[in-house]
Amino acid sequence: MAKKGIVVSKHKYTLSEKLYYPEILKGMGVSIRHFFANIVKKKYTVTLQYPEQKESYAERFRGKHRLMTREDGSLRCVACMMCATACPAECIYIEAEDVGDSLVEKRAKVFVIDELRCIFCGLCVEACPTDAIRMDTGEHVEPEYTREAFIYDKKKLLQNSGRSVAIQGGDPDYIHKN
Amino acid sequence: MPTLKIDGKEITVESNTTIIEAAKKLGIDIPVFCYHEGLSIAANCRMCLVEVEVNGRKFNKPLPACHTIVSDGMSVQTDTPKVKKTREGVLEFLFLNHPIDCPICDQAGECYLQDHYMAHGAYESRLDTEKVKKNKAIPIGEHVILDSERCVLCSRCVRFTKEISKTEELAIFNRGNHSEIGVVAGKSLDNDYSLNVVDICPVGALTSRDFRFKKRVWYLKTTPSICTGCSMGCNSSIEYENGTIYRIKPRENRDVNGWWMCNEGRLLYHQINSNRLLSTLSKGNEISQKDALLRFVEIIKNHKNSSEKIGVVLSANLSTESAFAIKNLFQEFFGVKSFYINVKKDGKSDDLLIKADKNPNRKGISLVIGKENAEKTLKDAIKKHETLIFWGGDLPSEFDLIESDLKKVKNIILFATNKNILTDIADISFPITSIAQERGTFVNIQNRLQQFYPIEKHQALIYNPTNKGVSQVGSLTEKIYNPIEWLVNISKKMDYNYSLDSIFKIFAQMRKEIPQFANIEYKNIGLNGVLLEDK
Amino acid sequence: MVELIIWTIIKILFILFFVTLPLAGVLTVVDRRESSMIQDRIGPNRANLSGDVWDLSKRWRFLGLLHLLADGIKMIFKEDYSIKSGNRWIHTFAPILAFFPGLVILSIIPFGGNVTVFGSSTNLQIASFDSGMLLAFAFSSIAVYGITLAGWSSNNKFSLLGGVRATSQMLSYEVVLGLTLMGIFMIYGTLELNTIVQGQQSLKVDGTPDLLFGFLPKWGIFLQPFAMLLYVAAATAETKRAPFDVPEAESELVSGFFTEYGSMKMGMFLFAEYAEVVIFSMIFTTLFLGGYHVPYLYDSGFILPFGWGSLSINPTLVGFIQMLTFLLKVIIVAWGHLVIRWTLPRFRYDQVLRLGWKMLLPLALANIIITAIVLSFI
Repeated sequence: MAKKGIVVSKHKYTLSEKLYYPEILKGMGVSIRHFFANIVKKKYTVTLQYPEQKESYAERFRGKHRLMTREDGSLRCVACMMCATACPAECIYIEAEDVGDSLVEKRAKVFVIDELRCIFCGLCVEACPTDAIRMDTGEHVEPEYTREAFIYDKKKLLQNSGRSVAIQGGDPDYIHKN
Repeated sequence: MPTLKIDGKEITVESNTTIIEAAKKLGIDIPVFCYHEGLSIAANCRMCLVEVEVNGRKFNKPLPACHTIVSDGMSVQTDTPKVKKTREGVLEFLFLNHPIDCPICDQAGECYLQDHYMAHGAYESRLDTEKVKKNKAIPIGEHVILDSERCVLCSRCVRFTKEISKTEELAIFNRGNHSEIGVVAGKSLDNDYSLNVVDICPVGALTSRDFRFKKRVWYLKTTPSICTGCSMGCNSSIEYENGTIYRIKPRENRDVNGWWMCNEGRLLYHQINSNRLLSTLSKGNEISQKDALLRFVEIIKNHKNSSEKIGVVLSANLSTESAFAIKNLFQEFFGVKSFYINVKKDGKSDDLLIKADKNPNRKGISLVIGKENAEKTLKDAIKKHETLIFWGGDLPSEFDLIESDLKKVKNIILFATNKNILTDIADISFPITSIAQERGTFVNIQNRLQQFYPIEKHQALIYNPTNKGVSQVGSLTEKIYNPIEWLVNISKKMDYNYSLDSIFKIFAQMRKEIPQFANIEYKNIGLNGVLLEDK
Repeated sequence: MVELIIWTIIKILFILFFVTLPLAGVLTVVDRRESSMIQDRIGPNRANLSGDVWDLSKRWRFLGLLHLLADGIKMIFKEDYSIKSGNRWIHTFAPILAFFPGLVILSIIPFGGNVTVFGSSTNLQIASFDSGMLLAFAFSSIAVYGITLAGWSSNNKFSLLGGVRATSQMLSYEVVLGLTLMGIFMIYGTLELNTIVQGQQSLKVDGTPDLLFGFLPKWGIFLQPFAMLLYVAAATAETKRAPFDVPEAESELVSGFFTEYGSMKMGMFLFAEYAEVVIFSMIFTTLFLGGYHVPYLYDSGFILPFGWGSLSINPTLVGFIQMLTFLLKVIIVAWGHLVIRWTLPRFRYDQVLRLGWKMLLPLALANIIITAIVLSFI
């Protein structure tokens, strides 16, 4: 008859294992060692006291969005809709408007991100030609009481804003000559 | 009839055909900037250069496909390495001083430069000096904005103002690197067709002020339609997203409007997007659709033995099918004999596209209600009617004259698209869909039967969660029906067995009753329309 | 007589309200924190008195002991619901029945030597019965009813299973428990606990210490080491704590016999468990660790072995030292008991009973026989 399956050798208990008590004492020894090491020096403890202490995220962690500003404090976004187009979750809504007297003709009148729909893929950041949207806040989207509160408008997206100095716009000497 | 080969495929074309036209017939795409079927040939962009061989003798240099007339025994190559290198070279020159500001450019998405770069360019930039700066974002007319940096100097717009509008406002100024399009001193681009230069501009140099920054073009969907601005019936495309119309562009139909359209017609979409009647009104106050319908039915029933007291006024904006269905129901079931046509006042006209008759379907409705009815004016008739039913809701041209009489009419019932003075006067105003939201046909001034299609989601009211609101039109509490659906609703309320509930059934009935339609199959109308026979 | 009554009341109040109940309460928190330390966690440490202070180090947290208070408040103010089906009266009565019999055992435990206060002398033991340990066995048997009735009256299959398991487990181990201690009773010749304690560290008639091999006090742990091991196993099973917590077995039976309990009723079950730990520790200390005795400390003072010298101490002071020693021993044993809980995985139910009947019982019997043989030769 052919062999079926594989033969597993059973663990053979040593005398002390059979007696059980020495092994219990060994186990208790481990427990007690950890107990004293932790109570005296927190030697093995890895717990973080969460709200007060936080684990820092990786540098490229994709967190809550933020909108960047230019040196003069205005929004860098030119409402080109690249992010909204790239977004697989369709969570970005932008309405453009004419700036009129500016190097950059176009800006976002409405810039809304639905953080509940967002899947934090980062494609909007990659798509942005003006370094206007970033996900480098390192923060999660905070919990809210209503769905509406998760729909971040321009004001909320600018809360963590920073300045980006990437060159943008045309030559000031050639704008609106007429 | 020369016979030639393009990329190995043989074709026989008429003499005086250019290579690019022959290639188009074969389905071979040759990239162009300056070539436009509706304009003269400039051959200045050099993008369409192809290699040509005649009877075994090869031309040393590639020839412009748009400007080279075919000859017998010609052999054209459109994809040799030499041609490809030429195209790349041309593109590199065109891009030298281009600002690459696609993010803020309205043309992005339908830009020839983008398309050609992706198909034929894709090189690394070799420019190591400053780009030449030019004027940006200059309004050069009421409707058009010029950005010289983006211009590739194809001169399409210059040729348009010279040849089509014949106003000659635009020209190319300066030389070499510094050449740019501009407006001739003392003029501005204010002709009635100025927005066509935006369409024909292959790049983002000329953009529409009306459409400026409203929407990126890749979001827009297109539906073929007919302009309702005047009786010319220019073929147009409605471009929309989420039920909101963003722009109207001309659709090529060489028998009617060629490639062009007037500014007024393009901007008509504002009427569809705004000031719409969205709920059922009674003397301007909102009432429920159900109550209104009951009241309407009651009024009709009261006239059971006095149907001559009912008058039906059909707007010249209604589609032929709607008008026919209305006439059919009122005549057959309610015994109404008085039908009138409600026309707009005549306006300005020119010899290109704009016609004085501002009604898109006057001819069609005249056919439906008959010549005698069509010639009656409302003013004469108004006094003998107790009940007037307006379909379409346009303000009658003689409104000023009949206003006092109109107020004496016992019941005015309105089926209207937009709010106006009539909606305030009318006892009941029912909302109906606009032309962009239904399917039907118009008969234009040339007696040409042309059809239009509805846009998707034609209720035009889509909740947008990220926008926390509703698109431009407004908010709806009850469904808006088109005229044919209203007729079905009314006949249901009155327990009539009304069978004309689809546009195809109506059209079949029209073929039986109206001699001009007798020989026309609905499916043969197509996108270009058919001419009606005079009978 | 009046003196006896006053002393008894004082002793009851002391052992109950100053030792057992506080210790059991503290153990509930210590258990959680100790387990966290063993498992490399931090454990509950956030209940504090300082309110809304962000800086963790500036909060008054008292090592997390306030969780005891928080738990108590929570237990008391939680909804005291009564079950719709099942027997409501028994359901209400069961926790009491589980909790109080254990406390009666306290009456026989000597928690100190003889002390003299204001000229009145007494043994620090509430009641001295000749039957001694038998009383303890009797009352711990009664505690079984609480568990069983709780499981049955809940009208819940998990509760019933838990109750049934508890019943058979506790009954089985009572047999073993009794037999393991038989050796001790034989050696010291009594069931009365104070006598046993005194027997563990006494002076010979000639005034020299009665020591084993000349240096070891005659504690139960040295005279009956084998019985000690068996007793620890049996007593752990008797307290229904890990690795013998099959009646609760939260991975199998939700919460076992107290699944259907809430608020302070459930609290009483939990509290009874820790009270049992304390009582177990006291009995263990009494029987095996020389009770309140400090090694080499006798009524008159220290007498070291090998003739290393002696130190005479005030007898009343000795009495208090002995009392504190007893408490210290109890705390250490209770701590060790918790360590066992957080070290060993739970037995399977059949393993529990097999261990009791097939292994501990024969071994206990063997221990009795061997002890008897040895005793007959001495």
